[in-house]
Amino acid sequence: MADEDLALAKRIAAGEEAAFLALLEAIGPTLKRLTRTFVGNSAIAEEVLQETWAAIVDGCASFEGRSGLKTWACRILINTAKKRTAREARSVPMSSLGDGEEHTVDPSRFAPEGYWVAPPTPFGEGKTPEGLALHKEVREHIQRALEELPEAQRTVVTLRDVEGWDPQEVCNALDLTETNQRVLLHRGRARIRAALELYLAGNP
Amino acid sequence: MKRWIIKQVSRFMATCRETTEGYTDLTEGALSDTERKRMKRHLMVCPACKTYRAQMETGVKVLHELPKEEVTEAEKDALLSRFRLHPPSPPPRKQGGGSAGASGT
Repeated sequence: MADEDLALAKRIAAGEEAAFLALLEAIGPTLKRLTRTFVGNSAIAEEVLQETWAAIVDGCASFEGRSGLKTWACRILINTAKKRTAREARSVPMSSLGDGEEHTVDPSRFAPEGYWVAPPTPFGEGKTPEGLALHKEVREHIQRALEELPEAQRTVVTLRDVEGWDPQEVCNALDLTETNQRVLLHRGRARIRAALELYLAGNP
Repeated sequence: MKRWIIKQVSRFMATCRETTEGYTDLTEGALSDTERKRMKRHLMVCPACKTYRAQMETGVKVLHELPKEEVTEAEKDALLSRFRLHPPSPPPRKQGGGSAGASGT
């Protein structure tokens, strides 16, 4: 794969349109979603995406294939987005885990010995994970919960669970250690679960 | 007595709280052998934690099913014309006067 990526980058650097279109097809949707993750749905998103693509095209000549094109392009996008949002000073370094401790489940729901006193309610009659995943309202609810995650969690969860990247790719793209990647994934998924639990409680 | 039993049990299997906190470590294969076994034993017998697991799995499933982002034709055209206007450096061919139309297809 690394060799294929290197060859594709060389062809783009040589100005080959078909190669550019191939890359656009391969990673365009991912970059678009990630841009939304970083800068929201604004007009800035459009500019960031265009700047990113310009930087990718210019960078192809010096692409060395040490990571995949996808993760390399993602790093370019992050840098471009950071530059644009720096003025708003709302972005946190990706490697930061935020406030030291964050509980997966509200600690008051456990007895001191560590067993549930307020356990999650089981799925209602006829509700299965597969069925829920297809439910429009559930999807919209989860989509909102995803958008409300802190940035680092949102980015990791988006790449892992929406885009289906593997852990190593995420670590490379975001400059995260394996442990921090896992912690962010867990916290993000835990918040998504809590949102799902809340939804199910209101819609038994 | 109750405390003593709980202590003995927790040697053998994880608590609910440990299971919820460490769940992703389990699925990502980041637990030691002993910890993994403690958690798996707990998940075999605890209905509440089974529900927790089902909710975690459902969340991931829903995320996976979210509609994919699409690059629209208009966006694709815009990016492509930009690529034509600003080809990567060094340029693929010497800029001659009438060569612009050559890259038509």
